[in-house]
Amino acid sequence: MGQRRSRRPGCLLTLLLVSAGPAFAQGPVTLYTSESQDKVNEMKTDFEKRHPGVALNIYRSGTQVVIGKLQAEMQAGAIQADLVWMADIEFFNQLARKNLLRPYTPLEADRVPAKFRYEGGRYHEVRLIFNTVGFNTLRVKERPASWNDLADPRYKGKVGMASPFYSGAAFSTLGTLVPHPGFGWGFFARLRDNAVVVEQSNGTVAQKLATGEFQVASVVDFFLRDMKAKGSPVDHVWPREGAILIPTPVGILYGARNAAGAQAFLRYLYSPDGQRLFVQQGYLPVLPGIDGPKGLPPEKLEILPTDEAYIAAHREELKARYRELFESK
Amino acid sequence: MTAGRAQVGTLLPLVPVAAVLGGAVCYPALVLTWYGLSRDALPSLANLGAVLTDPDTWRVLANTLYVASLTTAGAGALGTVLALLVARSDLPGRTLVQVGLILPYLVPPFIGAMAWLYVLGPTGFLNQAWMNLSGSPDPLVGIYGSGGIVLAMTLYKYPIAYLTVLAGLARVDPALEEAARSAGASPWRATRDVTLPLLAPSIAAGMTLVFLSAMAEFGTPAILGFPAKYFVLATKIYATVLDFDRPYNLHLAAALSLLLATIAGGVLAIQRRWFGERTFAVAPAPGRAPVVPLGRARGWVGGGVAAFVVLTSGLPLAAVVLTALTRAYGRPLGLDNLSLENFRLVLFHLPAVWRAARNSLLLAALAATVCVVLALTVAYVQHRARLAGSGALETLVTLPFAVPGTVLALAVVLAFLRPVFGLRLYNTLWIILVAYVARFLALALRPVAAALLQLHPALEEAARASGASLWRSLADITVPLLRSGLLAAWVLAAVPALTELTLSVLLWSAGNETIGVMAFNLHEEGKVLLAAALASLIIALSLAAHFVARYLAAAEPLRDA
Repeated sequence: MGQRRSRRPGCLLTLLLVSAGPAFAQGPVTLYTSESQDKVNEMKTDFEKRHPGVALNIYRSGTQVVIGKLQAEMQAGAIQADLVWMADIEFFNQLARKNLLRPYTPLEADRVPAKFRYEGGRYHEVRLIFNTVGFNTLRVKERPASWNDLADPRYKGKVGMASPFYSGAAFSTLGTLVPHPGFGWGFFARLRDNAVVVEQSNGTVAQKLATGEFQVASVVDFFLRDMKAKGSPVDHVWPREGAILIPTPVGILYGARNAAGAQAFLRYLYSPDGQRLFVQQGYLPVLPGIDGPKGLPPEKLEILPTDEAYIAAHREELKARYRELFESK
Repeated sequence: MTAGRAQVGTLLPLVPVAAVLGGAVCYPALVLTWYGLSRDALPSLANLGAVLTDPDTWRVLANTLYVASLTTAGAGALGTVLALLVARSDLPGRTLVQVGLILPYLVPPFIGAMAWLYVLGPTGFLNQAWMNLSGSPDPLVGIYGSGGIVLAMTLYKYPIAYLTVLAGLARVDPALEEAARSAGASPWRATRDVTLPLLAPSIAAGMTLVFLSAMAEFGTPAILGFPAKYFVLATKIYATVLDFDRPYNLHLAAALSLLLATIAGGVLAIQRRWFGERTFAVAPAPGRAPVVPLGRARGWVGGGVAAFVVLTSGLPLAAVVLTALTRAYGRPLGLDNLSLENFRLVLFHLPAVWRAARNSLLLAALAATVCVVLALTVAYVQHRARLAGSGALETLVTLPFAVPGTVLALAVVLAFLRPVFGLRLYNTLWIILVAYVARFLALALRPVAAALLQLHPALEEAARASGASLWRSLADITVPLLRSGLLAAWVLAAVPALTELTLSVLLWSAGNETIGVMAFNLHEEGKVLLAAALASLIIALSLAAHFVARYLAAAEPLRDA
């Protein structure tokens, strides 16, 4: 990919622009992402306002679809994206292993905990989202407290979760809970016995929680904070075992046609302005010193440990056993 | 060979047809077939073996045939009866009814499925009302699974049969029916013994289209099937395509689609064998068709049809609009929970929406125009010039319509990932155009071919015998006489292209999105309110496009007069 393009004179120009530094960031930047459509468009508008001359083009779809498109483009040797941002950290590992990600650490990121800058700044966590237990406030009188409440027969047939085949967040949840001594496959078998309903995306799970089609659900937190703020009858609890961090990294590709513009966008995401917009949208910030959403102090929240190495090594097995448990056979 | 054999010179117009069909159909089909029959770049039957020995394949296949057959039976019966009532009876309020019957056709299938979800879903308006009234914690009806899929598909696909039969009725010479009536046949008898047999090719063509469309449908079984884990081949292939952790998933998906293509080919062969070769001496006659008085049943039939239109077209559309106007999802409907906020967000906070609308309009107009030109050429070659191998031509045209759009999209992606002859299509708008032409050519071909079949070649023969060239006879005789058929074909191709989803969802790129993709992405993300707002706008756009086309069609003869 990179090599192919580097034979063209256009690449020289790009190199010149990159070495000339941030002041020259302009032109179109293409972002491939699984971020929320309306949220990422708010970011685009704010970013473009602060960087006149840079236009952010967005390809937004489900994680699996975005990866499928990237893989197709890699096969063809013509990646269109300058930046990739989505909920599948294993895919970023693969990209880094193939040396497709360009390391970059903006000045603003110095204060960000090192664990959120992966593999020497090849990809970055720019804000935090968690999988938690959500519930419908009209239909559930007693607030759930634990992941195990999802297997409570009281909610039989009214429990929702997203499919790990479509949702990176659901896959992270599967990969975190399966090797955990307190959960394992037994937990998912109990969910199946409780007639859990599997949806494609977390957004759908959140909406069905709001209508009462689901009473409780395993769902990503910011959807619910967002809907609650608009008046929908939903809320979420921080399970007593801890919530699950859903990595949603951003990385710049080596083949980027507009590396300067891509770096400008990453810098913006790490800037106090970008971080505050994240909080406004219901996310937890990654930059210390920025207040999180009300009632959620970022440093005091219990997090279930996720073993990325385990997930990477057992990816196919996890999906195969999940399919056995939940799909029509 | 009544029309005479084509000369070598007249084969020239076939060159662009061959180029388009070769590039948009043959080449992607070959790539797809190769994927299905190979592993690691070596020929292999392992994919077919794996697919055929998996019991899940057979269950999914049975689901597919079950859903498609019931839909075809329901939609065929509804479409034929309604077309007869509209075209041949004194049904009250026919103009309004005609508009109402077209409505579902103008609603993209996946939006139709969403609409029925808002009406009959577990927390749709009906179940919500029932649960509030009865205090029961459980919904009254379920829509997920085969029942809901058949219901939604029947109610959104009967217009295909209705429109095809209606077009056929316009071509049935009223003199034949009048003759039967004046010879003493009752209206029912004349309909049964004269009109229906003359209509048989149209009914068969309509039902074939419904069956193929139901079998290839992705949106409805995705939205109403996934939650019940009810898969048909189209959604199974989609799931397999996305499951890229599974070894050889693309190869398995290709093998599954070869299976589906084989069935579709079989259905087409049967339809062609039974009805394809019959021609009837019917012509567009200036006379008015005899109107069958419904008598005392007029009020009842009229009321029934009106209720049908309101329940099946009005109700789901109202549900979409009401959902789009909801302020907070999950709160009961009431004045305090209504707002235009969702429309404001969609129109002014999602910059891609406007660009997507422009892309969709452009794609629909271009695709429909190319399709009509190609369809006329193909139909002429097949039914007039009768070149050897023209049957294969029809198969070629219909295959991309019969396979699930997801698979066609996949084939097109794989075929055009790399530049072909220096032409770069991938990540441009034009790859979507290529797929649309391949996909919707079959829709355009049917009415054009049906109209051509019912047009007796005598006029053209006379023109040719008087020394007119083939082009001259085409331009002066065939095209003017087929005008309404050509226009119908253009609209038939343009309307679904305008709101297309299944192909563009895999082919769009940054800046080259379609309006259907925008709405589906919002729904898929779970942004129900925004999706409903955009869906309302899409429905409005689709209706507007249709009525503009109708207005143009109605204005045409006046200009000539």
